[in-house]
Amino acid sequence: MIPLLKVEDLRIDFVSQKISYPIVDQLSFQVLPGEILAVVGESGSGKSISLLSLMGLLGSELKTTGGRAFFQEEDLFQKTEKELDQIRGKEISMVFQDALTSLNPVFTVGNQMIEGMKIHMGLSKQQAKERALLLLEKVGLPDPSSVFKKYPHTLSGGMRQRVMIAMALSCKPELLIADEPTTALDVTIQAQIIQLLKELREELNMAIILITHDMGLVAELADRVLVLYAGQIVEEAKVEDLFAKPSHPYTMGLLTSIPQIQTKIQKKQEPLQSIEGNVPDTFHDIEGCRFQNRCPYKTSGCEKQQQLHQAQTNHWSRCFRYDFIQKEASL
Amino acid sequence: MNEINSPILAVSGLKKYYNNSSIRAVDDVSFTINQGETLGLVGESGCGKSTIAKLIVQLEKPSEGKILFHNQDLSTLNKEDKHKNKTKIQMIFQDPYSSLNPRKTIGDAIKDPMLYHQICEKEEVHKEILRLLDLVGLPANSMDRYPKDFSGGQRQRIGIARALSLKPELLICDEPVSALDVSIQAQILNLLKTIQKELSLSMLFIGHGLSVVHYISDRIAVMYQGKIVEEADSIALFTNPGHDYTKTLISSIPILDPTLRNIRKA
Repeated sequence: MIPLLKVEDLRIDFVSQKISYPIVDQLSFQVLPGEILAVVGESGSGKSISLLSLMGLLGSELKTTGGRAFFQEEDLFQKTEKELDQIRGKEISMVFQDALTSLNPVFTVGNQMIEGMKIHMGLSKQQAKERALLLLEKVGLPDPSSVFKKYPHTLSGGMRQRVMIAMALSCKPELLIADEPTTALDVTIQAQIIQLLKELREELNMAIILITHDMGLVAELADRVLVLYAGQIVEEAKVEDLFAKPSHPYTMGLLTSIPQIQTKIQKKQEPLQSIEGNVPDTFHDIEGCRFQNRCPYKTSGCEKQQQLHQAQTNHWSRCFRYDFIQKEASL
Repeated sequence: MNEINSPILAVSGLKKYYNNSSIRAVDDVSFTINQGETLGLVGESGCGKSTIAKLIVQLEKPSEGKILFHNQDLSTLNKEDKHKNKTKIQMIFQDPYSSLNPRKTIGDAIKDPMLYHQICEKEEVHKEILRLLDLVGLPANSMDRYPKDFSGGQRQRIGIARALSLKPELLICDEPVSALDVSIQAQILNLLKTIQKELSLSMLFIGHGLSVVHYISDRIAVMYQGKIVEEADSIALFTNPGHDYTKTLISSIPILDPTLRNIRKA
């Protein structure tokens, strides 16, 4: 199958007048049509920035300084602003974490929904309105025609997120980038949004890139997972393999630091396995493995630069002791 | 869980109405917290859990109902006793970024409340700050630095140190880990648990993530639309949930094993 999106060796730098240093490097991945790819990592790991870079939406101090990105075999970085406008919002659309600040407060839901459809799909106002109502219904909002007329601030968090999703779907995108789509929501609403995204994928055969730090969400939704740490991929695997055989100490730490519901009294885990230390602000001055200072398995060899190693078929780890880590994880 | 005697905090018939009773943020809530015990309070945003926290630390006045701390009604205390009692109940907030004054060094942020409440002598203050920083796992040189120099997890540690500086008996934690990264959440949860044991503190732990609340609590109260709909031992709540809303909450927890997700769907 031809990948829908293919990114090769992406590098993004922070550039100011005084200094510049990389914040993402050696990032390569692909997304197949209809696939849900989760990009996991903590704040500052570069997950949001990488995707914004593909859309040409980086802030002024961030620059894409290397690599190539192909969407439907066309190089995104060679496109002009005008050409990108044809892709953004139509072929590729985004759902952001905070729906309140992403929606325009001075326009009604309906107004901002039909704008994109008029531009990208050439619909008349009436046609766009009909489609908007249909989409609002599809994302499970009760009484679409009243939501259509409302302003964002009068809706609850879950409703706003559904409006965002409806808007993102309005031009039938091939690829939906969802940046922490449920982080600001309550657990019960989160479960509804997860269900909605699953159904939409089935129905529209749309690919989704899910940016998140919630391993629970990953387990529920994703087909494949990229784990990012300090600007690079540290592990890549099918979701089942990642959870069954984590092969990088960071992934393993992420999995063990989540409290699990224990239903037997004697088994209440204590203390939680946590990853010591903090995520480094910058990594360009770290020699070798970027996780080594927080890694409980640090040994000689970690001071060397780490490549991605194939741990199994379609399972990659940026730790040369991936075999050992897999064994440790299964204990 | 070992030192359970009479409750340290007993809340009964607590109500908080806004807007001429049209908004019932807290609607007839009763619960107790025993000495050395952690009570978890879960529910979705807007269900009134943070309002309860504010009522207990007296940032808000209840419309009705009683809050008994060591069998004393907090609202009937005179000014002097109120002042004394303020140190005994301390709060840890969700957002460690906005709860620290950016222009105060960490040392000052911890020192000022201690001196104000005359918790320790001026000569002892320096030693006491060092002890607190050590207790929450921060280096001694943090004292002279500013909040901007710290990460989210470290700031939450500062918040905890400051709350502990007043030698409280009851800690109210309002979503203390929700704003933190996953790997940092576990550090803070472990820290809270260790401190609670060491100092035999009582705790009210407010959260919306069931698994986090489950991990830290002895008992859990589930809130829905201003009311407590279920209260149970933290293990029994999961093995034998009674209320429909609790069941919904439990089924909303993402399952961490992807191979199980198809089974649940069936």
